[in-house]
Amino acid sequence: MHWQVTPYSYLLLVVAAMSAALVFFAWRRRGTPGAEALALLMTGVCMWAAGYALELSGADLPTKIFWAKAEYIGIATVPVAWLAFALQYTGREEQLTHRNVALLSALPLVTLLLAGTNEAHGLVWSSTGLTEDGPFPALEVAHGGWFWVHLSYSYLLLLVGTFLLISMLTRSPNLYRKQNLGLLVAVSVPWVGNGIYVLGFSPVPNLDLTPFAFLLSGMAIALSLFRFRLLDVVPVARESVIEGMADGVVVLDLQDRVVDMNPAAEHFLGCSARKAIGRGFTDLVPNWIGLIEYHHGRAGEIHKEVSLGKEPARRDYELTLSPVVDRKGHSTGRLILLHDVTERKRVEEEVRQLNATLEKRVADRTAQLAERERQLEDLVGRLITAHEEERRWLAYEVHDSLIQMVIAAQRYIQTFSDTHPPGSKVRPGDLDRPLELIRQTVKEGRRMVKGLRPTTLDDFGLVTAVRQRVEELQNEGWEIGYEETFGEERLPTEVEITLFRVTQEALNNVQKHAQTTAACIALTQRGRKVRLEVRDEGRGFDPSAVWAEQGPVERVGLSSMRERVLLLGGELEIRSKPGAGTSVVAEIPLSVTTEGRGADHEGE
Amino acid sequence: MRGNEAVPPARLLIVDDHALMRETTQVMLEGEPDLEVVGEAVNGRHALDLCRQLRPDVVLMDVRMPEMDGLTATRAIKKEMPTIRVLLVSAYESEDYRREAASAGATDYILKDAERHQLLEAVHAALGQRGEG
Repeated sequence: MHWQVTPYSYLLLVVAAMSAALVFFAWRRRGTPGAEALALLMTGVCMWAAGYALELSGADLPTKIFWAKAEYIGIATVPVAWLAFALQYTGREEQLTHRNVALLSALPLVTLLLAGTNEAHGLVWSSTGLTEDGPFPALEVAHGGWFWVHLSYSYLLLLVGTFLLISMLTRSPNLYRKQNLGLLVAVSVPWVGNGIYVLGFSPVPNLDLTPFAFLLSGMAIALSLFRFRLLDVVPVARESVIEGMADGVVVLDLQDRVVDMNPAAEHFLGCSARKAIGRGFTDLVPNWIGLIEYHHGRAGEIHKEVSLGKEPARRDYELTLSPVVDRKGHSTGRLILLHDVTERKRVEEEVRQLNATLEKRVADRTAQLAERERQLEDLVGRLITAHEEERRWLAYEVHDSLIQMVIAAQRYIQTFSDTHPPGSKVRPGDLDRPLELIRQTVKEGRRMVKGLRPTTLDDFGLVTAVRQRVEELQNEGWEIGYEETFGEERLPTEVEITLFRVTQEALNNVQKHAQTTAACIALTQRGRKVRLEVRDEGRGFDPSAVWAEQGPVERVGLSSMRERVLLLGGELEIRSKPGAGTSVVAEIPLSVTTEGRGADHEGE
Repeated sequence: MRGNEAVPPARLLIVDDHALMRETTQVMLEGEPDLEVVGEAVNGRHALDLCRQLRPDVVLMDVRMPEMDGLTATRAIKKEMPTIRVLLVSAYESEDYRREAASAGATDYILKDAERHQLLEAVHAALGQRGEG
């Protein structure tokens, strides 16, 4: 072999060296999708460039032909590797089965074989020769039929790969636009170079520009790899994660212009990425100027709750603003993360309101209880008063009737004793009056005891006790009706006692005030209530005036009855009009608790 | 003074809201020739009216009565007719009542269950003071 080194050879060797470096770089990252294919692609480029360098440097025709054939290893590899890279990089790895790779590689292998055996058939090169037309002796060839098959096939693969990459680019992965632009440059430059060569427009006659173009390709890919970290962040993953994220992501450059934003951010900010990119972020969201400016002076992240829109469409977000720093620690922009917390805040608000409602309920309930306690205290107070008045009434009764009668009897006997010294004559009937008074005293005592607590009530119950009282009054000449619906049934003890007292007191009042001896008593059940009515057709009175006019003794009876009825949760009503009779109605509910005590009577 | 035909019997007014008390007071005073019951009143107001009409020498006045009680009536009587003697007759043994009775101008305060002779002595003692007021 004879050598004749040209400057173009050095250039091509540089291309080969760079490609080799990229192979090494990509191979080290072969775990990343696209890296393996890229390594293969750059291997092809490296061999193409190296082969071409040696072809150019060959001084004689056989040397040049040998290396031209060797070049074909690279030339045949590049289109397949390119398509493989495009498939891996755009997330179509699964298409790269062994079978598909074998099928894709079949035609290039035939090309390689034909190139190696060209002398036998001339399908790749129909003729070869040396030309001295240019600045160096070059291999001049006329292409054979297969070459055009190979060229079409190669272009097809390159075209498909390019299409895949461009279509991904147009799906606006803005964050990686520069990276894809690098790739686009990487693929389009060889196209242009190759086109120029094939069409015969090369500025240097007989020089194939394609490998030189691959120098630019290699640089563009290197830029993508180093500067934009092509293989560190895989656009596909970015697409699926960032695009699909519920959180909004906005990337700002150092001038706070929007560089990229994901669909969630578009939705939150109400502005499409297409319109937003390039605009100042504070133009989009003027309210956040302070926030952005605040972050200018700071290195770390800031977190803040912000809101967008007006009620009722207002949304709340948790905003994280953090610096974007390159590998050397230089700030290259800002990243805004928006996490929608509207729902959480709504729930928080609901919980807060629920809490407030609950607290109010507790307060209301407490107030109710306090009110009830106050009522109870009031009731107890009135009950004590009523009890005291009852004692006064009892004292009055004892003083007014029992003591008066006994004193009267005593006075008779004393007078008799004074006026009848021993031996004096006693007329029959002299002591009749005092005896009569003593009998009356006993009777009155019994009446009072009965009034205090009739034994009939304990032994036979309310219905019978009232009937007995009615019969007593009938015997005294009263016209009195009694209607009841209970029969033998016993009611809770406290209900029986209370209703008996009401009956007793009402009848006492009829006796004292009504100026009639006609009355009617009804003891009935209405739903869960026992109802007692004592009605007379007497002279009646003005109920509003009676409490004021009557003395304590007259008042004690009914007021004390009223308290007792209230204590059992019932009501006592007195209806009367002057001249229209009086009706006393007591209603007491048969609560579960009082009903249960109906059995109290057993064994009493 | 007793037994002196020329001297007319002393005039007594009985005041009590209880008929039994009025009845038995009469019984106790029966057979006393120098004492004459000229009227019975059922309360203080009634007593005051009868005092004006009948001008009794001694009033036997119950303490607790409806409408006007004995102490009020006593004050009124003593103010209007100072010569009338008032004996308060009560069922209640109480120093407070005694003091009240004295300050109202009552001659004495005796109990309803007092012995007959105690009542008569009190009446006569009151009569002995007649004209001295």
